[in-house]
Amino acid sequence: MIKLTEIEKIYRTTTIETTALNKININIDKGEFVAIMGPSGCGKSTLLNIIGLLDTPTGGTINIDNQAVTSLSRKKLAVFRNLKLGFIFQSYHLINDLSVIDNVELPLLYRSGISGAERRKRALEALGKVGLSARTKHYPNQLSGGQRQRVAIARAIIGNPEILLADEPTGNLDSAMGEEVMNLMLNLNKTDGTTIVMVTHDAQMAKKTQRIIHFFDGQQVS
Amino acid sequence: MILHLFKMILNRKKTYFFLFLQLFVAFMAMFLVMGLNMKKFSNYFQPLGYTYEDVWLVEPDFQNVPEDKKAEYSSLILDKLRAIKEVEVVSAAQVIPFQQWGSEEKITYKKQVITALKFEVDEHYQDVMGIGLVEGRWFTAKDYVLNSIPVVISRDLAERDFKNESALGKTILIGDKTAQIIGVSEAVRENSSANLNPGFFMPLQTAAGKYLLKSENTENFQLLEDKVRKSVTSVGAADIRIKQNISLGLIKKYAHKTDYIQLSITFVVFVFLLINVFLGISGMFSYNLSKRKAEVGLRVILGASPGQILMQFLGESMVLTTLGILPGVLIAVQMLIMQYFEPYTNEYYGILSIMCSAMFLYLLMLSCAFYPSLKATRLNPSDALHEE
Repeated sequence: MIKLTEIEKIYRTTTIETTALNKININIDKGEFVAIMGPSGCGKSTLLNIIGLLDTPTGGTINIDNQAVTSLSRKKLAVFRNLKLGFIFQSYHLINDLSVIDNVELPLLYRSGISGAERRKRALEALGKVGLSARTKHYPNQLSGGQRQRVAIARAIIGNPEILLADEPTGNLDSAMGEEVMNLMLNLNKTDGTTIVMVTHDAQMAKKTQRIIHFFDGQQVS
Repeated sequence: MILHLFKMILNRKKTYFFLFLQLFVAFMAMFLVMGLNMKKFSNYFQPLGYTYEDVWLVEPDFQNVPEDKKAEYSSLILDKLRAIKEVEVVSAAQVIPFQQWGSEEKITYKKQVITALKFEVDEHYQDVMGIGLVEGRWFTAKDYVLNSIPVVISRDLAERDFKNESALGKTILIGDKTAQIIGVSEAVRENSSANLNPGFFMPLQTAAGKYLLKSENTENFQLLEDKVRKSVTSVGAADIRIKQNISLGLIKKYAHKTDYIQLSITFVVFVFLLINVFLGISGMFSYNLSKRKAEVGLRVILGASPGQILMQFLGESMVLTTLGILPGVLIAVQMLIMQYFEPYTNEYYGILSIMCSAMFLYLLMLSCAFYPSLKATRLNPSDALHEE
């Protein structure tokens, strides 16, 4: 599903060269739930950005769903992200000026051929999956952290993506809320077969996934 | 998408309050400047209803002349002016284009009181000014002995108050005096920028104070001025001075100078206002977008292409403009319905200025929003996402 070959990411300034990722080779199968762990600054988030097509590697190739994506134009990358990928962030990143349902609908707004009524229907379904059907008209600042993250998950899954990329999704939540969010992702992986790549610091959460990839200083150590 | 744009703007209405206010004020200012000047400007392309190029104005100053001698001297001057070789026709009149126009007078027709401009002139005025007749004739000296005042009304007065029937031969009351319409002239205007104002010509009721001379030598300023001065002084009265001795062409130039100065000041103030609005809105857009970098990043991550990001922000600028000018458009339309700006503007120019003002502000907003929006499309999404 995701094949990273010899991925390198080097940040260069006029004086310093920093290697964030050094010759990374990873294969993630369809329907797999993978956790990426490692200390801060080891390159976990950089890797997630590269898999999410938000950043380009300095070297190496990326294949997602048997398609080489390294050379795609910005427009094609946008379409690819919209169709294939879903994102969950530690800080939720909801738009505070939009209601819960409008936030959830957002990815479909950039997908052609979907009517307003269809968007609304699918947003309600997604909110139903995360147990927030009663909060559709609320605004993000009227919700708790756990509820906000569930809205973010609903937004990530509304487009039925094949891959879900989660960057420390439980990092801002207490253990109960974190557990709840983790269960939601496990459920999505199990019932919908969604491939999930999760960056986390939490070993307890990582243990629940099928595979853990450890990073240290830009290198995959296990 | 449009609904989404409206939601985004309406949910941020407090943030955009001053922008709405600025757009509203800018729209009203533009509407007033355009509305009040468009019609005036269009008047420059309308016929005056007379010719002024070969006409010369003479105005003697009778201030120091005894009251009982004024009529005598006035008549003498008229004869002397007629005797000048270069002068074709002379008219005594109270109505001088570009300088002194008619006065408002109430006239009664079929017990209906209407208002029109009164032009007191003599029987030669039509020849001097080259005023065309639509029907009937101009009054002559023979008409002065009749019981009723002979009157020539302008075409716009005939159309306004006599509608489909012919005005010729109709009897009207001017004050309490009976008058008969003997002719209908072309519509006349005070000057190139003036609106049409219905009026009627009638014989002089008092001694003439001004004379209009028709001559092909009006370009030869020195010659005519000299001859006119000699003619007036040859009357013999040392007390008579000459107040004005000038061609109508020059009077028109002076009259228009004031117009041009007014227009220039309006234009400068208007441009200054627009520059301020442009800078204000551009700054506000840049600031707002810099505060929304994380949102831009998020939208890109969720699948928005650079073109969609550009359209998002340009679309928002259009929605902002629509909401900002909407109250102004409603007020302007209401004012036009109430004919609040008549006669300075009418429905046609009012609607045209609403459309032009709105169009201009849409373009202004697009130009203000374009560069910051373009910058937004170039943001790196993962960096932008972490900028709050």
